[in-house]
Amino acid sequence: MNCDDIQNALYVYLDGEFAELEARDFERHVDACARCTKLMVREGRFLEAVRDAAPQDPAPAGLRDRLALAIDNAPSPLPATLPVAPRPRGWAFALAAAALVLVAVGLSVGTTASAENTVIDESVATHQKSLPMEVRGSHRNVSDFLQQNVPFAVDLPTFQDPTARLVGARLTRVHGREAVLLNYEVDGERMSVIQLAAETSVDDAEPAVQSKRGFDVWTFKRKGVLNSFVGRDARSVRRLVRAAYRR
Amino acid sequence: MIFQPKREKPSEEQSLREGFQREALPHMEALYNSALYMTRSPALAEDLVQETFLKAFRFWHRYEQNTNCKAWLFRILTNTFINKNRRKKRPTMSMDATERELSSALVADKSSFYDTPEKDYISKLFPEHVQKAIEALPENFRIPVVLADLQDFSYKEIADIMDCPVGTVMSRLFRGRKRLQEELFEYAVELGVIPASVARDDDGAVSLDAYRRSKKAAAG
Repeated sequence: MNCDDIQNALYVYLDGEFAELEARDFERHVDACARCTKLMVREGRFLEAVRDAAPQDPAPAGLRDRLALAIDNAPSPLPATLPVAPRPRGWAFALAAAALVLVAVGLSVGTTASAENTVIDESVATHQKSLPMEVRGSHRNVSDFLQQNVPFAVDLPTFQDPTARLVGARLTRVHGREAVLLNYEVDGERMSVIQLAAETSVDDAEPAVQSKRGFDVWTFKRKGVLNSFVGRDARSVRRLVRAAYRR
Repeated sequence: MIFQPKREKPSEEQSLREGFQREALPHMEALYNSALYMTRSPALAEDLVQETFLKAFRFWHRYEQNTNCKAWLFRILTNTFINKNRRKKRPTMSMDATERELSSALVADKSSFYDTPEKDYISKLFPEHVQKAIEALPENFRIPVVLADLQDFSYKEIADIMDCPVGTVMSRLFRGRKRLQEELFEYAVELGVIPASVARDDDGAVSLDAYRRSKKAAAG
């Protein structure tokens, strides 16, 4: 390591985030370099001073009681999500998994897959129902409403496309989990978007499409949210999915 | 004895509520304190903490027992705060702009980094200055600084809480702490801990860099 490396990695070292080997490399340079030693002492003192001097104001008296009361009055917790199927690692597992998939055709494979299948089915079902929206109007209104009522960070799709307009939103459930139904009007046709918290935080490389009861249903995970798009006009839906995904 | 199947349910719920009170509520102080740095207002901080606990309770089943409850709660707190704030001030700096600014700042900072003979001005500052300086940081930097320096979370935990890569945590901490130093330095000049004459650049602005340059010139 040279002086530049030390400077860039200084906080990593002081925060104790280095692996032992890297830390030893770091120390070897600092021990031999007066300039870096000085720098390290100064920065260490700075962090310590901030830690010591930053006020840790106590919570107001009664907050704990107010919280306890609010929780007592809160409805029971929602049921747990289904456990996420562990991802198999390595070739042997991949082959074994592939073999299992072959055997298990027709059965549901893994919980993640079944949740995604459910969202596809429910997207089509809700889309066909034309449900009333709980909140209508501007992007702002809708996002305020979602902020207040939805437990995950809703990733409200926005489109540059002037033919696509957000109509409103309502709360719904998919597979027993809280979800949001968003309605858009695209060229006079309704498009439904369902969002729920994804079970894994890994985003999809690209949107996937499946055909269900004559509808193309697009799904993708983005920013920890599972999205599902359904609409009558397959081409415009596809275009908007791409736009929403690339945002 | 009469069989009473209905009794099962409330007692299960009761233990759930007790578990929550036992595991989650003790983190109230830490959450409130950080909420105060995030919102800069006791009333808003209290609202934020209350909302966090209600959300946490609603999703208590999703919390895996005996894992890091504090980090889980902070994740909810941080997300709630960011989402609420995003609504208020609309033209926010894009992530890309922040990162760009950051990398150029890293390069620009290098030359003056070592020339630092200043006395230990920070220890002469008052807690309220440190508080103000932290509160003055932009949200992107303030959150990681609060999580790392006031709550002792690891980089990995902060990355999970803020839902960003560890590399982003590292660069924002770096930049946030540098800004904090500048900010505190300005207070030190205001308080006369450091003479203003040596702490101004050519434009008359107070800066830590200007101070370091003047010290270097005096030494050389």
